[in-house]
Amino acid sequence: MKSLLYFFFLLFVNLSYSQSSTQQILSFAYEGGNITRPGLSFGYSLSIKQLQNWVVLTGAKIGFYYHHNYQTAIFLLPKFEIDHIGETGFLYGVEVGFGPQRTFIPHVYEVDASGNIEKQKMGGVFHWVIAPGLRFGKDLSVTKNIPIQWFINPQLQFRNPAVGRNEKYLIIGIGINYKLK
Amino acid sequence: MNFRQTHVLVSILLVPFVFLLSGCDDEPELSAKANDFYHIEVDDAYLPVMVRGNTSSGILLLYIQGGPGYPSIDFATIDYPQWKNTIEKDFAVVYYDQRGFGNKQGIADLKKMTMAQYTKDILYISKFLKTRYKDSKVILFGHSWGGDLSYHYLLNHQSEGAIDALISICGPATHDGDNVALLRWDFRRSYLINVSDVFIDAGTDVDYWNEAKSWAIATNPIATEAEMKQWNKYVAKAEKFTEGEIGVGAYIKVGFFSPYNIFQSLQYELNDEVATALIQDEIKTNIMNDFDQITLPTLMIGSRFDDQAPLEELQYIFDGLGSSQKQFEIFLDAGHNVFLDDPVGFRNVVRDFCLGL
Repeated sequence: MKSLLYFFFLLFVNLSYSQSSTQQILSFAYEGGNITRPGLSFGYSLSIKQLQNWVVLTGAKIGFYYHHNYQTAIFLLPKFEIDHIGETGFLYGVEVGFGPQRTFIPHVYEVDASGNIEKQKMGGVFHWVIAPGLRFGKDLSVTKNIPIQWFINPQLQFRNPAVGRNEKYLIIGIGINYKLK
Repeated sequence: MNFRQTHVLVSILLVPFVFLLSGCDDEPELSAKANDFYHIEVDDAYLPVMVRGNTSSGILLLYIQGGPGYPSIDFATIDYPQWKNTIEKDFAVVYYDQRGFGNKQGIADLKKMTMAQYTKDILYISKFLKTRYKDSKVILFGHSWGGDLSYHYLLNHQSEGAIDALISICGPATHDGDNVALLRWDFRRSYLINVSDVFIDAGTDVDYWNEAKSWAIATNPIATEAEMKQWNKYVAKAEKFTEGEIGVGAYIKVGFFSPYNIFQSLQYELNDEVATALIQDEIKTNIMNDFDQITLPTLMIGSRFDDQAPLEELQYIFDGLGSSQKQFEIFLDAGHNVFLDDPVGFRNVVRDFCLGL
């Protein structure tokens, strides 16, 4: 994981000095554990390098998901992304996000030595998250001149602190990107 | 961004707080079909607790899972023990995931995975139940290693008054490598002799069981690794180990309609680490001479064909109990998961004991 972050850091530094043109993108996605564990995310990305069919983007997204009787989480994830867009508009890529997350655990009670119980309003944990992910989809601007991409974006979150080495959670994102410029 | 766009964005961002605030703090309504869910925070761990079944009965069976290393919430979600339409009709069963297993929420240190911490967790959950479900009796309902953990709980916290009785289901109290190994293997040697007699009397595989019996009589004590392996080979033929059915529906239920975070729950390496730490901590303590300190009403349940919790060891524990109200029920045609082998008999025994309290 450290080497992946280092790779993206070097890439960012390198590309920052060789920026060619920029593309601003707003994104909106259903982003939860699965269909019964809903969530939403909103993001903003900026292309920082385009080379033939490859595009490198940096940006951030903010979102939340809800998992019944487990947790609700809100997160802010700055991220790097590398996408390949084919001649038919088929899109695939990888990304990694890193940022803070707060979980809210439902129905949390504290018990004291006398057996008195008190409900916590904000039980949960503040984590730092690293979230590598994949991206598949279609860029409709290639064939139809519509400035929209749709995508499917599975990510595996690794959170710390946690019990043991880390806490893992799989997020599935399905959404659209809107190209502003 | 204009005002309208801002308004929409803010509204959407507020959605998670609707979920957060939706959990109100009403007293639970006692019901014949309760399904209540909580998290109890104890020493940096959020322990999930599910109370399901007949809370209006005034009896809560606090299920202590075996292993160590098996979660309970998914065990309940898929109804592995098949209690939803049996025991949960009579009483409520309380399922909780032990620290370090299942969803593992919180920041609990792996160094806190000790028997003292695990018994403290049970104490806080039982105190919570006593307060939340006023006037209810809380009965420890431990299976396998969960029975062992229940003995440890009572030896340390019985005086706190948070537990009213004990039901130990096939719960031994010794482990390989502990400081009562000779006693442990003496129970197992007797088990092989007695099980051999059952098959010899029934005329089943008589030559095999005569050989096994002769070996057990001659091998006293069973002390070497080779002898232990030989014992395992002999008893394997008698073992009755019924497993619950897990169909596609169960996987869908856990994957889509349960609190389970599968990636977190199935961290096998971490689960093994926690289980090993617990066993290593447990074998430091010899409780085999302390059972007289357990004075609560106790129901011991054992099975004839259970080589993990031989009747001979359970009998020793039962004889040592200091309870004035104690009962030992033996299922002659059952194994370690006795509740699956004889669900009707098991339900009846549990019900009669609880109603007699």
